Amino acid sequence: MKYTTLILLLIVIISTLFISYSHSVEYDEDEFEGVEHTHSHNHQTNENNMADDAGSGSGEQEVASSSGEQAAQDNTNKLPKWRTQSNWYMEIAFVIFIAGYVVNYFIGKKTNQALVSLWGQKARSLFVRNFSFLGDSNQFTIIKVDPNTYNFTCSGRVNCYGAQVSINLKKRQDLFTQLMDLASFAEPDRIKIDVALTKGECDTVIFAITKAKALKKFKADNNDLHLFASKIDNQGALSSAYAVMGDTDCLPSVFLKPEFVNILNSNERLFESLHLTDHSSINPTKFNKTLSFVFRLPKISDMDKLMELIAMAIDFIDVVANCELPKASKAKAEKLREKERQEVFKAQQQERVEAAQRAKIEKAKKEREAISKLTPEEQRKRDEKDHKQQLKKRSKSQRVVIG
Amino acid sequence: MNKDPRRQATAGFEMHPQLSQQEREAQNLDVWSLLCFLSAFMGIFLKYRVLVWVSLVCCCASLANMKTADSGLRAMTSSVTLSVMGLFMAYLGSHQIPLLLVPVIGGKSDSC
Repeated sequence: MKYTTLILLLIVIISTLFISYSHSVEYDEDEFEGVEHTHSHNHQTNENNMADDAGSGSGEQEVASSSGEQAAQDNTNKLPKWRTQSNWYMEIAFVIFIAGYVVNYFIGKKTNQALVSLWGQKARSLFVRNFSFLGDSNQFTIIKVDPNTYNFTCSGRVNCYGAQVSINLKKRQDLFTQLMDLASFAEPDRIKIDVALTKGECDTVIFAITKAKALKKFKADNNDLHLFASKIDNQGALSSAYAVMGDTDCLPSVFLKPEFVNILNSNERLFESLHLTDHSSINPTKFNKTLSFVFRLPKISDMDKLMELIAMAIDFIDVVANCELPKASKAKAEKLREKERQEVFKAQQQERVEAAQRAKIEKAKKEREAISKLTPEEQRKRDEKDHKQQLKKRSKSQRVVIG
Repeated sequence: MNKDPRRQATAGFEMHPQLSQQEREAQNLDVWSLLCFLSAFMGIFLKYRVLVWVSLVCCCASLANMKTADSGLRAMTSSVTLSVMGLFMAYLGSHQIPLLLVPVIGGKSDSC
């Protein structure tokens, strides 16, 4: 480790020296053959002047002045660039931009922090009522991942192992994102609640609600929906702005209680998606069954509406745990999963067969290469050995026991 | 529903799996830092001052979007040092660095 650092340091020093040296040499004459350069041009002009002067016989004074100009030009070239530069527009522009970036960074960072702390103040009582352990030290600590991402975990609740709240805000600290936001290209502020559910009655269920416009993307992003779920047209009193998906048709009537439908219909602008699955991709080895909600973070004045949605999300944990699926739906869901398991098994078997074939071909290739490298004498010996082995095998298989 | 839903907490609850250092680095690929390095090197070698300034802007963006867990001195210094070195070399070197690289087509100037 020590040597690597030393070598790296040496490389840096050498490259720096090389760069400095390459800058001290203006250019290679051979490399720019046939190309006019200001310096050589000056030389040539001076020489021409001198020749003209000598031809006209105008005297030594002008020759002296031209050599003086030459010396001045040489001195100018030796000066640092900043002393010979005529305008500073580019530099001023960049300095202003960087200063703007720095100022925006502090303002954006502070705005994001204010938004998160306001959300924390509003949501604290709700989480305290529902979870026994908040944050990483039971003090409702929201952890900052970067200036626009904040995480908060909580555990100790019936029907779930715990939940993680991720607040993904706009990159307000980044001036480029702010500029994109002006053109409405930036991502909105989002809050995602992931709940790891304990095993219960509804172990085989995939159910999702999203905005009808975003259905295609949502399906493409979630492989489980792509494999098992289909769009359910009968979505009851739920607004047509939403699209409901599930592995069985009875799910909307089981999960969508009238109070939830009312909350969803009145907060269309803030709700983005609900995703209940037993094929979770968040942490499949530890938590198979998860419930995820994505909401948009509203303006500070509308924060109470978001609290309504978060309370609904927490209540939904109990609804999922206490739900009872009709037997036919359960059987259908099981059948779907069995089919998928068989397909996965088939694919794995196919892969294993292909891998074995590849290994066999590779082995034969290596053997052929080894034989081609042998001397004629060695090859003859090897052939003899093979022949003997084959004879031995044949004699064993063709042996007939008499008596 | 009126019952207290709280139960004893499971110790060290983590929703997402713990990632290895390599996985984390692959996930948090810093595009701004990469751009900073690229433009700084191009600026230094091609003697193109605009690129050196662009590298400084990229360096600022990289620092602004840095993850809290990665914000070590090492990560900060590498990009900052390179872009500042580029600036020093562009303005304090005793040589001519063109403001813009003008493509030079062979042939002598008519003024000679």
